[in-house]
Parts: sequence; C-alpha cells; structure tokens
Amino acid sequence: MPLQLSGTSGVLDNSGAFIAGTAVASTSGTSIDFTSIPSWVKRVTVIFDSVSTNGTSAKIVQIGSGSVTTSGYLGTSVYTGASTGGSTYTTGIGIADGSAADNIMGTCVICLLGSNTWVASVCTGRSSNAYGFLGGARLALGGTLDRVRITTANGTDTFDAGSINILYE
Amino acid sequence: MNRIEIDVITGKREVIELTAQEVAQAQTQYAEWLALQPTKEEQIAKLQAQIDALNT
Repeated sequence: MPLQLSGTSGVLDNSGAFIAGTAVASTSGTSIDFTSIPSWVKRVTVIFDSVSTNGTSAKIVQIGSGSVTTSGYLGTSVYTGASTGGSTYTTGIGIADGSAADNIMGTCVICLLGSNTWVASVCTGRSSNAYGFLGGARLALGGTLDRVRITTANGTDTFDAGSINILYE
Repeated sequence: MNRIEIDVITGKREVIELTAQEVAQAQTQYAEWLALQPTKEEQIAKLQAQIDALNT
C-alpha cells in the first residue's frame, strides 16, 4: 500500500485502501455529484440505499474528468422478476428503471481497465416489488476520473428518498 | 432545478442551480436515451413471447 503524502496536495497515492465518502441524503436535486476523487483511484463503488425519484426516468451514473461525460457510454442494464427486459444506455451507466414509487438498493462498481477506460457492473434491486437489475457498461474518458454523478436519464426527475455514498480505492 | 455537489476530500456540500444550458443538455440526453428504447409494440411482442414460452 504505497501511501504518499504531500504537504500541499494531501494524499497523492493511497492505493489499496478503501476510503468511504460521507453518505448523502438523496432527497432533493436532479443529480448528486461526488467531486475531487483522487487521481490514484482505480475503483469506485456507488452505493444506493432506498433511493427514489419523483418520476419514472431510469436512474443512471455518469463519470467524468474535469466535467461529467454525458455521451459515449456502451452498455446495457436488464431487469428480471415477474417479467424480463432491458435497455441500452449511451448517456450513462443504467442503474434501474421503474416507477416513482420504487426504492433502489444496491451498488454500481466502476473499475479502471487502463488508459482512462472505465468499466462498470451494476447490481440493484427494488423494495416495492420483486425486480432486480443487472448491467454492464464502459466509457473511455479523456483524462483521469475525478467525479461521479448520480442522476436520471431525463436529467429532470428529482431525488426524493434514500441515501447515496461512494467508496473509492 | 438544482444538483448537489459533494467534494470527497473536504466534505463540502453545495447546492447548485442548473443553468439553462444544463437543462437543455439534459433534454438532449433524454431524447437520445428515449430513441434507444423499444416501442410499446415491441415490448408487448416480447412479453407475449415470454408468455408463449411459459405455455409450451
């Protein structure tokens, strides 16, 4: 675990250590951004606890370098339960679709493949009915990842319940 | 509409009002996503195929 500290820049490298952010109540806002993620990070886990919005638009995760990237993703998320189906996503990593009444729990794990290419896996489920979501996605960033955004596909639905946190390592 | 921004190093939390440009970008993003979604007819056909499979 090569811990490197700088008097001016703080932690330069802490590879191998899990660092948890502070859980954020997802009870307002159309998106929640976690910024200033250190450059040495190679894996980010986004944690959803009973997260809900006031609309039916799919919940997505976006990543970025300097600013959030809103296009160019490749991936699919599928649901399974009483029926099955799925959607492809190009504007983010699909976390879950559904109704305003749904509360989502689970994780989205985003790993550095190399050369600023990030690959994600998704595993979430609803509390209101027997549906689970599985997915995968990838995105090549133009630079080092420094932010993660949790939002919806339409960008205008508002979070109204639950909490979200990230782990980075 | 606003977004919540959390700096993971400092823990500072800010609420930022979306600009008109950001709202427009969200609408463009949504149109792109919608265009990829199956039509109602396609979804019904898929569900019917699943029902048929259960009955065989």
